[in-house]
Amino acid sequence: MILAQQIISGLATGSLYALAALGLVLIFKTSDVVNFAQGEMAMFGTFVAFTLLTSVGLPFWGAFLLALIFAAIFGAGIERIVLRPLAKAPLISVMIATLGLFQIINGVAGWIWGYELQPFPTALSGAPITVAGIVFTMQNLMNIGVAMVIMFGFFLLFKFSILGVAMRAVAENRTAAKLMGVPTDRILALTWGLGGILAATAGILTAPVTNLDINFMATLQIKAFTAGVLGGFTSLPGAVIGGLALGVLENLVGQWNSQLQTPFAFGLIVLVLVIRPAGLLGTIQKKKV
Amino acid sequence: MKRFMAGLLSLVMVAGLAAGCSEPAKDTTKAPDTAPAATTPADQPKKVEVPGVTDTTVKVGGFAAQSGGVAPIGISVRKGFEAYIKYVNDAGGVHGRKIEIVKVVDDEFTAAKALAASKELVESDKVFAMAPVLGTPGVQASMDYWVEQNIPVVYPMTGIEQTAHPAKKNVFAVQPNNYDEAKILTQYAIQDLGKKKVAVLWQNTDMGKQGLKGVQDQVKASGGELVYEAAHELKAVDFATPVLNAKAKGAEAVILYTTIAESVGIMKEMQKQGLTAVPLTSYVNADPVNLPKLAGDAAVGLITGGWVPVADPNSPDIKKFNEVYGKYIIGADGKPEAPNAYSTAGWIAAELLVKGLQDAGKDLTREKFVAALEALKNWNGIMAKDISYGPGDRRGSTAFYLNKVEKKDGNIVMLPINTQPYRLK
Repeated sequence: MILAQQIISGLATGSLYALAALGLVLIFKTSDVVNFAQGEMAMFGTFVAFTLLTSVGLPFWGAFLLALIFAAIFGAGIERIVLRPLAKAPLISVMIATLGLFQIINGVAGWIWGYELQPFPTALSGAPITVAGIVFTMQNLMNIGVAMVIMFGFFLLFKFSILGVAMRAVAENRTAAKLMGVPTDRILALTWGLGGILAATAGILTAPVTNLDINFMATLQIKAFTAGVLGGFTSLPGAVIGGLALGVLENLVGQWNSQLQTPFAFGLIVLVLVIRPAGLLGTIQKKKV
Repeated sequence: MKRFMAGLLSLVMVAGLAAGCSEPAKDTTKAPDTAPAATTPADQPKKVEVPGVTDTTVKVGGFAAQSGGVAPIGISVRKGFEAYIKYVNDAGGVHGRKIEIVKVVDDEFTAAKALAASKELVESDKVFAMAPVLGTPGVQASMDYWVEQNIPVVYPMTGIEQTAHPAKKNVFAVQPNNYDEAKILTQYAIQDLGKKKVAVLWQNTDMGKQGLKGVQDQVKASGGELVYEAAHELKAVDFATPVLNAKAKGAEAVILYTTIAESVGIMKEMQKQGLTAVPLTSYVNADPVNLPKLAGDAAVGLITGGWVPVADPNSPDIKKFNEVYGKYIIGADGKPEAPNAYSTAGWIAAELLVKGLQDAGKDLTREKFVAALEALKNWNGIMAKDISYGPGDRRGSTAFYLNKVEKKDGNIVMLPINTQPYRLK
């Protein structure tokens, strides 16, 4: 019975990793940029929602929606102001710029909202549900559900919509895409806007579990990187599976040795990569020059 | 960082209640009890030179983050320290000497910068003693150097046990350390609550490890049993595994040696999994305002440590503290600032420093200063309370004031359990 509960709790935690990983993978998939500021974008968006909830007094879903709109503009704005001027710069410079954004967003958030841990309300409250001796909370179920819906939605988008095809084209070869008439700049801004929305969604769903401070996404984002890598970093379903697997794995190792929980989980990921460098569902990327 | 931030929150109980009084009260410090004797006869033989000490001044200095994430704490600590020192100086100083705060270095809560600050203060600025010194990284990094230099250090602000175990001749702790507090919580769970089966969920950091060691060392002595212990990482999210195991092992008390976010996560998981054991946690989490807000119902029944008694806002000491602090610390809006928990800690460091300087007498040396502090027995200042040292004892405060989280009239509140000090039996 402990095992079943551990797996379920692991899936719930893993869905948080997956949510945080989706935005990362989306941005990487389209623009080749590993966005180190993803977790901080999530944090900032969550604080915006928090302010709308507590200071403005909006209902949860209203605050959620407005925070997502803010996050989309924020993400697209980052692309326009920081990323686009760096389009011709080496990829490493772009990544350093996102590291810089990490520090800037974190510092500004601390300046605005302070450093204290704040309670964040949950969208779905209510007593935990017990099924066959296994306990769930509504929050757990919602997190898994939202991660699945987003994953599936983006899967369809990439596979079947013109926009998805354009995003894939930009990812594949930006110059060729431009020559074929794809508005690459607009596509990239859109990708970052969507990345911002995913970040804020992840943050707003995570905050009721962890409570909110300016560093609440930091550890989670490292796990999200791991989940992404495990899943292949170019595959959205891969990111979700990677996140869920990591969540469950941590709990199982914790049963055996609590201090080795994190090292063991990461050790296993290194092992997966050694055996299958593209990750579970990834495709081998040819180096672009 | 969290560890320390939370560490001083226990003082909220004092500072939080201390707001808004201005009536002057009886001065209990008697700081300037001798008239200044600024000049000494020229024919007197030249005394042995003591670093940082002249006939008219004594230099001190320390480090506390003034920028970065810990800055709100570091700045408050510095202000609290400065407020009391200015107050004493304005009243004539100690034995005719004004206390000069050479600087409070911004170490940004980093080990390397704090150690560099210690060296600079001792070797270039030649301070007499170090205070205020804030933060686990800086204290840990500087400890060996302080011992080697034999420089008096007044109130290293951190919960790590190295401040008191083993005792260092020149380092005077004030707030209790993780190890001693874990022993107290264990004793209380087993001997006072009768919960003999104890589990410990500890953070995989110094704080958690020292807490675990304290519980392990105390369970047998108290006649209990450690049924389960498990580590978790700082900022961990999923506590299903440790909580389920504690439940399976029949734990009756669960000691949480971790910071506030994780404590809240564990208590919520305990509630979710129906583990009814009594949770106990360190004073670092005993934030009467934020803890109930963060954990809600899940916190009901929690026992927390504490090392300052809940203060009466009308007590003369609290009024005095508010009045003096507000006189010397003016906010950006031009109005007197209200003290907080962290400025209280800075103030206590200053009080202890001044007490040592007074008791050391007019011919100040480091040896006399150390001996004076060592002689303190249950000493009470304005905000410093019940501080004792002795040969081989540098713990400072050993009295505990436990609290319990209860539901009262629909609100979740933290109430004091004991008004008389609770100590290790």
